[in-house]
Amino acid sequence: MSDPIVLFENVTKQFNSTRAVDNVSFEVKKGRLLGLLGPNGSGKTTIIRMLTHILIPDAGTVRMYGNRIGPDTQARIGYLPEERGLYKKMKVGEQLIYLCRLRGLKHADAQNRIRYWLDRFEAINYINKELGELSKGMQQKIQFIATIAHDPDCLILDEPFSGLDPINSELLKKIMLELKQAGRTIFFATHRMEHAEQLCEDLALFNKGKLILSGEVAKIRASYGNNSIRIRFDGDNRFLDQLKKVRIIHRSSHYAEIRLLNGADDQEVLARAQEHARILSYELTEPGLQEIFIDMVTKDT
Amino acid sequence: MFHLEKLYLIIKREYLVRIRSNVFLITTLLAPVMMILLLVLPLIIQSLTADRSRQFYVYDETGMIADRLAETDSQFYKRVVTDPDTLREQLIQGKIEGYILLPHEILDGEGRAGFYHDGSAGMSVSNRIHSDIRSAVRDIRLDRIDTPDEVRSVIAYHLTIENRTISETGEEAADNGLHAIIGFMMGFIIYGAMIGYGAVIMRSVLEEKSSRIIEVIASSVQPFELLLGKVIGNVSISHIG
Repeated sequence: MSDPIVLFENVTKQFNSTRAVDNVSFEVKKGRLLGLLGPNGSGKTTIIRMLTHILIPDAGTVRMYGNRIGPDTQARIGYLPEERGLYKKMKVGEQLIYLCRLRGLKHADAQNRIRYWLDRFEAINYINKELGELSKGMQQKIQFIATIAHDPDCLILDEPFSGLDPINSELLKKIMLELKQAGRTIFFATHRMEHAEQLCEDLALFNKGKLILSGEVAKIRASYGNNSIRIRFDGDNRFLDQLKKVRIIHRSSHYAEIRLLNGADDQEVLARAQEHARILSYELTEPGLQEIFIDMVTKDT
Repeated sequence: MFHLEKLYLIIKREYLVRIRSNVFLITTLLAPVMMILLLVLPLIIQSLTADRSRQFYVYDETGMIADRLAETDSQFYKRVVTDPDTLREQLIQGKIEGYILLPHEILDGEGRAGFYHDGSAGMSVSNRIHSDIRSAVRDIRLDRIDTPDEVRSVIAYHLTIENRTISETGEEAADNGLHAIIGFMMGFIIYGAMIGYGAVIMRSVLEEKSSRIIEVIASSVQPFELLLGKVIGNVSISHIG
């Protein structure tokens, strides 16, 4: 595998009495899609701001291509902040060109790239409109274009799917995977585990400023073993309450995700279920990211 | 590390945004009008109020001053014999605008004259009354001691001074105070501009903070470049715009 393009070494950042990031070390290799996961206030945004050189670590170093983070590495990063914002009174085209040029692109190049991306997002007709006139979803697309138009090596996307309809979400997913294929490294911060599940190869899970789990998603899941049950049924769901040595991760009237604790028998669960309901599907599998997330965070707390 | 290219882009954007805004257009057109109004309006108001004819009752214990005052302007000063308490009552009821009390010891250089009014008399009115009474009292006192005309002319002498400027080329011109006025106005404009442009830059920073774009911008430029760009971009409007 190639060398890491981003490297955090014993990074610490303190705000007054709160230690937002506490001695965190991890690396990301080229062309990988890393999920930055963690509950609210776990330090994800601070990690991102240090990577974009908006904040400077109190201790430790952040490196990109072996160099310390600084104004020169900023141009190689595309950052989509969680709290979106562009100039409301500026025209879409002018605004995108301005942002591209601030990151070092020539005017003509910027124009070509922006036209290409506006075209891909079916937003080319809005090029001469003021941003404030566009719908929220459309503004979101423009913000995404502002993030990627200067062709950065490294993308940081903080909740990129919020505010997008399913069709545009799919388009965005497709483009993210395309960019990854083209060798871009992507940091993807989210609370939506189903998105993380579909997209991430690696994950870094934070809690209270500490990195509590990191590595390849597939390996992490495999290390948990086949001890999760997903069951779809038709009928009374009260049998779930009678199960022993299990933890219910998710339940609704027709579906449940059940985690087997030490010594529990999966066939026992199936038998109980059959007594009360008609089973539509039953699967014994590795735990999902949601389960791992809850498991790790509650254990840590 | 300092990027001139980025600075130039920021300056250009700030400049264009400001120059295209409606606020800029309106203030540019209205500022001279407002300036002129600011100077002319007080004069207009003053001339309107000056036209009003006023009348003040004079209660004179000496029996000499009031007549002299009436000689200067019989409309303005009206001699009455009504006692001060009644005058006071009339003033409270709004029947008269004001009255003047002149005690007899005033001719001996003691005591004080009194001017009572409803508040509508301004600085110019009270200055006028003050100076009229002073000249009347002075003249009466000079008469009493049979002052010779020579002394009177010394007292009445009014010094005039010629105020002229001579330029580097030797040209001479009357100094009518225009330079002082221009200097004062320019100082005022600089003061206003400093506060005004400070506010404009502050608002521009505020806009970026509240619209959250600051995070996108701060991840591509240094804060110093951004602020410097804003300052230059906004200030250059006043020079080029």
